[in-house]
Amino acid sequence: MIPLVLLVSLICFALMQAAPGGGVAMMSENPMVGPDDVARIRANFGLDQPVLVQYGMWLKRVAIHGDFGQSHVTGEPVLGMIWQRLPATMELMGAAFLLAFLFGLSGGVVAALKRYTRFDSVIMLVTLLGISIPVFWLGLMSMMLFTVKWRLLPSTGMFSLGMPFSVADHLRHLLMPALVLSLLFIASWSRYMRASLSDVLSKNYINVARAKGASSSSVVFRHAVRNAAIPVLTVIALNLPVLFTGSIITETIFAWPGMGRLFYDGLLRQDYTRLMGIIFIASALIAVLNLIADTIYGILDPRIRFAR
Amino acid sequence: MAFSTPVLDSPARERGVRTVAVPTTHPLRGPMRPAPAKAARGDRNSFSVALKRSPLAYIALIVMSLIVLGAVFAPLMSPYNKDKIDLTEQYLAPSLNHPFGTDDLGRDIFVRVMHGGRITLSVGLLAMLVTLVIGVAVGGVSGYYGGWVDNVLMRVVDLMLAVPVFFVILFVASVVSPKSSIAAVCLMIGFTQWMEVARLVRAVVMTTREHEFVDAARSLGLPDRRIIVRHLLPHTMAPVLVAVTLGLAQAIIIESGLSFLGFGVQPPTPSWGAMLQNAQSYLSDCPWIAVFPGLMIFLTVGCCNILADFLGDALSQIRTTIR
Repeated sequence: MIPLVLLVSLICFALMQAAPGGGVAMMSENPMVGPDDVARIRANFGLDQPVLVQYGMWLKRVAIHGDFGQSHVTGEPVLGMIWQRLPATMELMGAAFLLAFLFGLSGGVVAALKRYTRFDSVIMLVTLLGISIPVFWLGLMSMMLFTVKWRLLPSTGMFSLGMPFSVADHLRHLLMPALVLSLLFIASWSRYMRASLSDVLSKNYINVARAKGASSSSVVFRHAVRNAAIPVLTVIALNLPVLFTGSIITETIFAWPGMGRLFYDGLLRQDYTRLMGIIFIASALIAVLNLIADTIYGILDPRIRFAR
Repeated sequence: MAFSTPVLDSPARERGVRTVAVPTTHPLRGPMRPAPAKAARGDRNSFSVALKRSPLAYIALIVMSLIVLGAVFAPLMSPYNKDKIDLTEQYLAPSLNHPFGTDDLGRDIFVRVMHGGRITLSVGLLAMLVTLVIGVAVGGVSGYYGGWVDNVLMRVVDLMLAVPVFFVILFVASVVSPKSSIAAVCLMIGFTQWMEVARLVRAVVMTTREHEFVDAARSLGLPDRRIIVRHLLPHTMAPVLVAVTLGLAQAIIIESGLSFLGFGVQPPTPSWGAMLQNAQSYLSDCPWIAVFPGLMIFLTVGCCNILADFLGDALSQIRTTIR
């Protein structure tokens, strides 16, 4: 996992070097800034060094001090900017993940148990449509309906302005973005869960469990679901980068002050140090979450534990 | 849509096993129409039979064809110029003259949606082609040679799968130039989506290369490249066809997301995502600006997904009929 994060950062760094523009180039368009000023600023940021030296310097600072450098645009330290925005992102993604986990898996279980009934085909059709809706359009449409038309939910931000903080108000702001972000995962995870569980339900050991007289809920939950969850967990782990992707778009639409919005803002301003920092942190987060998923495999499936 | 599962060289044929009994009743869906003897060959006949049994796929196929036709013949059918700004016609609600209404610059949304289909669909198709070429090449080489080649390539696949790809695409898009060209968008999507195809192809090639006909080909002295391309890759067609249909849907979603954020296809070129760029500001007064382009994305992607689902089922049925 560590080589992965390093490689991603190296690629991004190379791209960043190849990039035209950048904060300093933008400054040079300002008539008040002379060519020697630009040279001085470049020297201050270390931009006059060879690329590999710059990468080494960047990596050394990150590894030793956890310092991602300063934004070329605002001059703030990048880590501070990210640190400020991280909780909002984690909250949104966590809420979406939880919704997807609960509804997706339970929907899949129900569909698998009622396989080939009308109920099942309705769920399958709805989830098929669910994986087909682009996140940003879903965001726009739900905003149009819930905010503009029915005036039920606030459209943007984390809190109502000028009001004292209240948990209820905050949750009202969280609800729509979290639902929009989670729909794709609810739909796709329930499809995977259905496929996996119906596969397991046709296995011999399920017949054995039934034959020895275990109650049907015990067969389903103790014997079947636990085994069916293992491949689904793989899908969930593979979906984590997609969750980050969705958060960029969702945060941009709903003005949710998280990392995705910070990233989008950095794109508009060509703030490459900031972008680097965010990509690096996001890949590192995904690596850590994958590691957690690997540990959970071990808990769910003793075979993996013993194989090691 | 004519296609056939490759029977030539297939292990079943080599062993002289051609056809087994076709089941006449599905255990859960009731009696099936007895499949004609020809169907066992897996030709278009059994395909159309399967299509008739699945009304949803039928509808998806029709809707998809309409969208494609609309995109292809857009220039012939547009009563208005797609880019002409007409400030006397701003913000018109849908009516007979403008079925989808007009946008903030007075351009007809219906005409722009049809033209947008040309851009979005061709970006999707080209990106899918890039995906296919890279995925098949990597998967074929990896599966055929195995060993360290396989190891290295599969690590690359793992790596690509763990990267927050969309961040990187956006980053590259903003770096390449503020106005990324359509070709750049296709390449970026293709380069970040090939992993699924590669895994599928690798899995099929790995199992197929153990068959005798591959040994036979090798003992004839055929070069590896020919064995992979002519003898192994045809067997991957069925799963790849499904993956490619899903890949088209995925490419369309990514392109429209990129364009929506302003880093894909650039206005005034209409693409469904780019048309939604400013839609958020007009949500309360002219929702049609936001509704229709997005609806087209939804329909197209939905049809692709339904068809992929159907193809997966139909192909596995046909395959079991051959064996």
